[in-house]
Amino acid sequence: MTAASRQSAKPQVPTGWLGWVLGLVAAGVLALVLTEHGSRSHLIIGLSVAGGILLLAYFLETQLRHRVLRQVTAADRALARERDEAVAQKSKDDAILSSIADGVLGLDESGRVMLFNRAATDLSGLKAGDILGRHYSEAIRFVHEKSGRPHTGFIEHTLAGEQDEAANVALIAADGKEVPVAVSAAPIIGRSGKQHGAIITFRNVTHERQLEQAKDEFVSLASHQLRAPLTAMRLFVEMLLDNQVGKLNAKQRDYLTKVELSTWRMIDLVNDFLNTSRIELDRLKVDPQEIHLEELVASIVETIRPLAEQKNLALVFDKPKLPSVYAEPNLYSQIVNNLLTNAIRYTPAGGTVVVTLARHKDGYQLDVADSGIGIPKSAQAELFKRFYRADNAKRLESEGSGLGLYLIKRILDLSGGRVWYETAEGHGTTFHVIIPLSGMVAKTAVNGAE
Amino acid sequence: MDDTATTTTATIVLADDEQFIAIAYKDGLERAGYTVIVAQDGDETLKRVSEALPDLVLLDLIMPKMNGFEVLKSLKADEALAAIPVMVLSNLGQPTDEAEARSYGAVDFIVKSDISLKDLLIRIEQVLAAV
Repeated sequence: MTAASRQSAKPQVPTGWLGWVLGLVAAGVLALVLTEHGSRSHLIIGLSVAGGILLLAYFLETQLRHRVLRQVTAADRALARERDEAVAQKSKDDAILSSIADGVLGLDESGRVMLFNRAATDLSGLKAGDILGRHYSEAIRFVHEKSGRPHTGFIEHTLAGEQDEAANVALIAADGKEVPVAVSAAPIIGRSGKQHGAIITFRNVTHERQLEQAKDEFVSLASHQLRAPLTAMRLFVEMLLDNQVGKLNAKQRDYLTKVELSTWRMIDLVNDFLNTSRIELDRLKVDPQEIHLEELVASIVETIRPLAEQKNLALVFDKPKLPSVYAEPNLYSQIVNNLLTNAIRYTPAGGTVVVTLARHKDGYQLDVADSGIGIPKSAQAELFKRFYRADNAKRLESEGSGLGLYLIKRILDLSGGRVWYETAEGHGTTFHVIIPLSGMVAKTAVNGAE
Repeated sequence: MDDTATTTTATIVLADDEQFIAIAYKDGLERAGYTVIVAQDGDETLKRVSEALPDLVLLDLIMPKMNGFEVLKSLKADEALAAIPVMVLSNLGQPTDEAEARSYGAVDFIVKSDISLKDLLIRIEQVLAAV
């Protein structure tokens, strides 16, 4: 009930008419009786009693009137206080919503805009007056940040009662510019549990995006610049190890082999950083060519063999005869290289690493099986995350960027392949990588070439 | 590697502005029996190729004066030089770079940091054998 309607239903003060009527009737009856009996003293007594009744009626009526008045006044005050409190609460809510640094878009259950706070206006340039009451799809445009395609699934899901968060969202501002935003959406649920709409909050992340871009461009530039000196170092060491400038003694050979392996490791790291930055910048392009995977794998196995020999590991690859397939040689090489490096790194001395490559009904499958430390259960959910390294891996090998498996998964996700593994802690791990029989799927770089 | 030193007499123009890399490749290729002429920028590469009419050009992409793509286009536009095979040997490794280089007529594309000298010599032999 509103304060106004409560006010209109205010009870009326009773007039006390019943007391007066009773007093008058009693006085009339007594007067008649006494007149009939003709006693004067009786008449006086009767009139006095009637007057008393009248006085009592007046007294009672006055008391009742005061009590009712007090009650009504108290109710009025309470109503006024409630109304003032409601007004104060509303202006406080308005002030809070206006002061929130994030844009807030409130929708009713049919998707019509019922709230658009000041930050939302500041961020978008859209005026609340222009969009309130309109369906959100006509009032405000969210798009996918990279493709520019409409991106409203998260609003629809939220209106359907699901909690949702969306990544890579941009808002089209009133001037047509795309503003990258971090978005969070939640259904509005009333006390009864019924949904009344959705609240979408969004925050301008242009600055964060610029910082990420700058960081990734720096990594890309630094990686290119690092490749040149590393190439020179590796070439000279290779020639020394080939006895091209004189025969080496055993110690010299051992030291130079370590330099060569370190150089290769640094080149791998640079390539991992470079490809990570390409993926993050959406610059990774998959351009499959017709190649023989078995030749590529054999070449990588031979390049990496000294690393296995240093650890006294048996590295086995029985090269199969396979038809040619469409694959991106650099990316496939990186997959094989990262799997082999991991297998060697996390297999204790004296162990084995077996590489097999075969054509199956659903694709070309590479298996890298090691007798290493295995992957603990606690690490399995995080294994393909960027920079993640399992605790037992860190204990065994302090080196490792945590990028190898992340890159393998991202490259395969982008090119239609798949990676999975079987592991037993303390006994070893087998990684499987498959690419479709039709080859790796081509992908263009969204943000252009470097 | 010394086994191959006497099997070839082909001439290669090596275009690379990175001094140490150029020295390493020149050394390695000469030991394998090739005659190597080094050029350190795009202009010099065109000049050396016109003078020597080599059997092969190993071409870097990022070079002063004229980049490798421009050099490649110029070589392929010149009737007298267009038949000379060009292998790109660069530290740019994006497939877009490779696709562009191949579209201008490069017969092979190699990322320098990712290939050993031994494997490079095999690739060179393959290209020369196919001519």
